[in-house]
Amino acid sequence: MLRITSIRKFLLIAIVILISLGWTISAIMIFHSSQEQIEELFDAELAQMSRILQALITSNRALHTNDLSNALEYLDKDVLAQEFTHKEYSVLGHKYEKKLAFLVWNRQGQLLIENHTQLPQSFEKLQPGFQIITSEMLAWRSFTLHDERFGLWIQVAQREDVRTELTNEIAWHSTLPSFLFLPVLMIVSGLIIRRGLSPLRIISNELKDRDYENLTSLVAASYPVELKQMVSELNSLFQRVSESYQRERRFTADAAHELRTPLSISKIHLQNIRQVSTSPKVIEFVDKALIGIERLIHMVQQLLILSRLDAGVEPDPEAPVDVVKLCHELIQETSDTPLFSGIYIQSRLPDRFEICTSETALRILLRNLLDNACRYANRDSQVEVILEGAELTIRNQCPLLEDEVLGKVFDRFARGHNSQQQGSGLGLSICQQICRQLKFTLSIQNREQTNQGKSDEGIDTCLRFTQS
Amino acid sequence: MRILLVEDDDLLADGIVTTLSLGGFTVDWVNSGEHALHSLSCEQFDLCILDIGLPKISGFQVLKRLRGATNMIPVLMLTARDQVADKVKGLDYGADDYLLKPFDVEELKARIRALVRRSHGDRQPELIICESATSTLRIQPDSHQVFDDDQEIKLSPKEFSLIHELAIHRNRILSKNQLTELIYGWAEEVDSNAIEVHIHNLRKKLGAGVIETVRGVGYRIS
Repeated sequence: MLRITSIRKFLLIAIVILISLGWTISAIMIFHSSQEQIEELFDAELAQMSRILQALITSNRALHTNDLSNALEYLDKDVLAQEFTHKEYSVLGHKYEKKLAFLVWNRQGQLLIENHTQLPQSFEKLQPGFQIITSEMLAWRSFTLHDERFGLWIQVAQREDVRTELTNEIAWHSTLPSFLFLPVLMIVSGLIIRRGLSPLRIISNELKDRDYENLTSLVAASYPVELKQMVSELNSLFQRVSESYQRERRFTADAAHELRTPLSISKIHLQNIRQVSTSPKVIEFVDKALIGIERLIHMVQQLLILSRLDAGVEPDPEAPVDVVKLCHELIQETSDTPLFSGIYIQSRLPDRFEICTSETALRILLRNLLDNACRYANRDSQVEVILEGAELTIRNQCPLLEDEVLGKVFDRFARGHNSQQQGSGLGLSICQQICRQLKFTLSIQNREQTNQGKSDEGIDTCLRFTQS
Repeated sequence: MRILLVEDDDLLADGIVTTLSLGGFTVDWVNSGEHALHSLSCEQFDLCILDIGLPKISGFQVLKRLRGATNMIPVLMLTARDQVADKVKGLDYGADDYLLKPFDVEELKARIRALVRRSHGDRQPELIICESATSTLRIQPDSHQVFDDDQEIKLSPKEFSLIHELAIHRNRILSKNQLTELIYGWAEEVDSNAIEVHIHNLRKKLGAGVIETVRGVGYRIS
């Protein structure tokens, strides 16, 4: 079975093939039938001509005297022998005249009249009725009439090639218009198919143009009956996906909330142990456990942010935000984080750079980018925050990422480095989600260069406050 | 300083009670909104730590009823919800501060101290007990220290709690029972003359004139 890759192409090809086939068959049939009809008409003409000749000749009074030779002496033989060659039609005749022949013999085989054509004159071979007479060059279709009363043989003939030429010409004229109409029919079929399939195109365009989070139903009423079922099934699928999406998001948010109390319990008891213990070993172990708890708390927080972003919770309304002021605040906040005590954050920022956006979302975005840069930076290294034009670059010094890893940094729970400082694996995913909402562009690339004789390698995180 | 902790999770409550006791606070714990409202209506506390996610009567409801009954005790809300709307709701209902789980114990203690200071109209981290021409006696609640000018006077935890309570309730007479509740809470067994013993020791260390005895009523710092 032929696989249908395009309904439109399939219908068009099938219809064109069917129409062409049907048309050709009927054209052939019409052609042949026309030929037969015309042949019959010509034959009838031959017979009729012979009868007219018979009537004309036998009405001659001289015939009654049985002296036909004398009677025909008065005929102007030159007129019959005259050949008209100037043009096809004229008031004087037609140049095809010599392609039509007539001969009249008497009982003894004496030729009484002829119009001087190339028709072979053979009295011996004469037989009444239709027959084909061939000479070296030509074929003739002839009709012979035998008049028994006067013993006359009247032969009328037409050249076969002229008959064929005329027959074909007439037959062609009756079939050709059909062939001329065929391309028009194909174009019209194509347009009709296109129009008929337009609802499918409308659905596919509507789905294509949709936001990836848009799971609202299509309006089934605006589609034809054949598509209503499909649209209704699609809508029910949207509904199910939307519900499961909501459930999943609620689950993440609920789980993150529920995790907070057990985390508080672990943290407070560990801090209590640390406070009352005098054993350095115990304090060391408790400190490690507390680091684990802090990491878990960070991850829960990130999960919550992500689940809210996924839920499409509207960020606060857009208002002018000074990016520079926000950067300074966040740099201070990050520098104060004990985890990043060895990192020196240097900034190259203008006095002021204002954009109209959601401050909460921008704060989460910048905090995550800065946190990420510091988290994976080499110990005791420098992180630079540079704002030039509408482009913020955060560059740290750290081992380079392999191309394969670089392509996946925005995936959830993706980890770039085998660093000691493990993050939640959600930070960049959150950043990308926010960029999508705020219509910013975020890119991450390796940096490998030599700076004043020293090799400088790390990651450049580039945030453009415009959509690319 | 006596604190009422309202928290339905036993393990977390236990941790908070331990950490605050270690910090020199007197902590009583209830696990429901009903018990909280009852305790707050009959006894005296300096501060209430209130969890929002309580069964039956939520923390918000407790707060609403408390403020409805014109009880102006400082309330520190404890919650697992970090949405701005929740914070705003809590503060609108009359909470004085807000702490998100999981929290750091040092932050919890600092916020408690700040709230208590504010509730007594005192924004200074130090409390002056008495000033004379020759010396100034002052308390540093954060470090649980008492100084006579720059000279530290060593006090036991209970002695410190007692002088701290009298100092923050300056000019108010606190009865022996009130003082017992404030520095021991419900959990501890207390000798009937424990307060007199502590007052006696404080007078020896700080000087006889600092704490005044009001016969038949109680004690005060003027």
